[in-house]
Amino acid sequence: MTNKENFAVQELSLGIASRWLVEDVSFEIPMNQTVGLFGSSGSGKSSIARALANQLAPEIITRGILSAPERTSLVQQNPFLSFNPVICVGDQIAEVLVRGKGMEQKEASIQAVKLIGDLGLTEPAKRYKDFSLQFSGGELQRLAVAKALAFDPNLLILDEATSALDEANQNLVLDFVGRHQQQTGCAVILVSHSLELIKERCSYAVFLESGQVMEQGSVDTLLTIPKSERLQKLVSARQGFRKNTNSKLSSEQILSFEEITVFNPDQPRSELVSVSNFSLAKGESVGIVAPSGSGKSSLLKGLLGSYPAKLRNAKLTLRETVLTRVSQKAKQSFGYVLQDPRDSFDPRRIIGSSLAFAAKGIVAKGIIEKAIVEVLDDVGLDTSFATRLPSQLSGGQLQRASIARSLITKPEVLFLDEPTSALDQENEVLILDLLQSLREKYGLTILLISHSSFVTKAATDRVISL
Amino acid sequence: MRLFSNLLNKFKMASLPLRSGYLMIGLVFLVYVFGPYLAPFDFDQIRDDGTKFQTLAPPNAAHLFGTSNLGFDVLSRTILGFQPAVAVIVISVPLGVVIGSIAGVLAAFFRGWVDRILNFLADLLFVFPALVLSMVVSLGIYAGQTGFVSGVMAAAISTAIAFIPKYFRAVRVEASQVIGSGYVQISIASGVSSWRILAQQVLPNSIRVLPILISKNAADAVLVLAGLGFLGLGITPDTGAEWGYDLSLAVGDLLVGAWWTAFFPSLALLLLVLGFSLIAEWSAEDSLRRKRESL
Repeated sequence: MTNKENFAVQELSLGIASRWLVEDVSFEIPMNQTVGLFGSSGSGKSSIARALANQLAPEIITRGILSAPERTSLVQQNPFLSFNPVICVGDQIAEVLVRGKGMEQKEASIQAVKLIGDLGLTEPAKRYKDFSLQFSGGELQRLAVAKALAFDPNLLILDEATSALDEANQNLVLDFVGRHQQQTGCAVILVSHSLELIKERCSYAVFLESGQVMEQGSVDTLLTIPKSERLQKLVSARQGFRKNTNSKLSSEQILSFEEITVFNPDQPRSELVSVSNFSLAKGESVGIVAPSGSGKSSLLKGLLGSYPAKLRNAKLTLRETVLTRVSQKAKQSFGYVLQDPRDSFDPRRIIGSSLAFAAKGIVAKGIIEKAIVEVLDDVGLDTSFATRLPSQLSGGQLQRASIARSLITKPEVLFLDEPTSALDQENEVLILDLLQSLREKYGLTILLISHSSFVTKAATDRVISL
Repeated sequence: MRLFSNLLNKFKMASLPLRSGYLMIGLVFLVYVFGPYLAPFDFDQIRDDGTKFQTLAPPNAAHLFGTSNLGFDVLSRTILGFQPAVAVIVISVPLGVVIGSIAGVLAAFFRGWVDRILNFLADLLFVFPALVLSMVVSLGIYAGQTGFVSGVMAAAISTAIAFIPKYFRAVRVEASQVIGSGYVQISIASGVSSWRILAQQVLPNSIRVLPILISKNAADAVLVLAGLGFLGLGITPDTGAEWGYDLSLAVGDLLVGAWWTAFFPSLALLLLVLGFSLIAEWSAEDSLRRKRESL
């Protein structure tokens, strides 16, 4: 092993036949250090990660020097792709130990059980025999990292490996990597779109923008005195995000219930989540923050009638009428925005038609067109977007259109289910900003669900943990 | 005009087998429309200008495809045989599509006992082979009375019944996916009426798979009609031209070396069934290939 040597990327370019996707990227990867590669989606960070791991698609053309170590491991975002679903997870880790470290099969199995225990999973001997689908995303990603490290690599690349995980699981995975790094002194490359993650975990960072290095340096200098305008904007938006606290909070309750129990639509007797003593005041913005799998999305679905639910002592005050259940009529005063904007639009309809569909029967017939123009303008999209198909919009634009649709019926309550989780950080900040101004303009009451404490802090007055 | 250029575009993008399928069905369509003008004689005509046709005459100038054992002109009967064949498709396909896909969308949307009952009914229908069913329909509804209408209807209804569970399954799977997607969930949560959601969002997005099944359905419908005729339960020669019946008679002709009575109706049947089968198989293949290429 060439342990004391540093690895480096020199003037690396990657391209397809018609154009370069990544151009002249150079940076060093010192041993025992963590280097962050970050930038918004499409900046080429994942392509560089794949090039380092020698896992590029065959049609990609490479130019430049890559002095990556022979033993390089890559962990990707979806942990279910890291494991063969028909072989038990323990055997797969043991196999890597046999091949990577030359262990005997028996010794490797014992070592694998120990490793699973080290990851904080209970009953490691039993979990050894489990298959990948029996683990949660967070557990499996820890196992994927453990499998990658069992090979004893000199370089570990985490390509957005934690971005699908909630904060608790994210920390578990990265702490595990940190401990391993201290023991073996391997180099780590962390590919992420998250500024906070880079700041917390890396010593050196490379900021990429459309396939080029905008700037690089030690994390402390890079994030305190950024040179490029784009990074400056991003850093200041993330750190200086101030919400205007709501001045005129009324004491009037818009929605309250003693208890809600939501059931699984496929097994009507199995309970998914249950919440008691909930109330939402008019004009208030409340956040529900919880790790993934805690049933926070199911809670909303139950409340809005997509999942079967039992409501006890509910009271809704909508448009000056008092209701005791979430009726079809009540739902017309609700707006609903989901996590994935691509999934939120009928792919066959142009944006304007989707908005008109939502408005029909609620907004008077003659003024629907005017209303569409108005809400699009409110979310910062010009009228030309109304005639485009969803596939012709970017994720950020589409999420704005989704918010526009939720507003066209002039709702009283806006339900937001992870509204920024599918977006990169620049767009996240823009959307949060937009929500602030819309809340004032429309006098909205907001219920926001998120796994990110940054989002709930930035957009809500009060946070409930499940 | 736009429809025409769309069709032309689709034709240009298609692979060779799919193109041949389109061409065959195009030809079928032309023969169907212009058949009554093209056919030199009527389907049950056995004499012209007072002289009786020679029976079992080989192809000649007066009868290009020869004549049959009963003295019918084979060319005329082959061309006019497209009339009941297309009629059975036109009745069977919409019947199956409408019932099957509406049931599929309802099952996916309401789940629970609606889904269970509809699934049970679909399973029940699934076990009937279309040809056997057509015999039951022919005997049950039309009391074994054979004729043009009863023959066509028996074949059409039974094929539709045999295909309803297939349409149902295909649409139900697609529809449950569509219902799970964000835009439908948003509509449900914002109080859009279920009827509008089903008609305008779920149904239009769940029928992508139908063209393949429709082609299979069309091919099967024609085969059932011919099978029924072959068994003597379909269209009788005095009520219409039908290939299956002609083929059942032609079996005997082959023994005396008269190949033309079997060959030409078989060719017409082959053209229709092969055309639809090519479209069914290769449109699936083509769309898979395009998907792979776009990845």
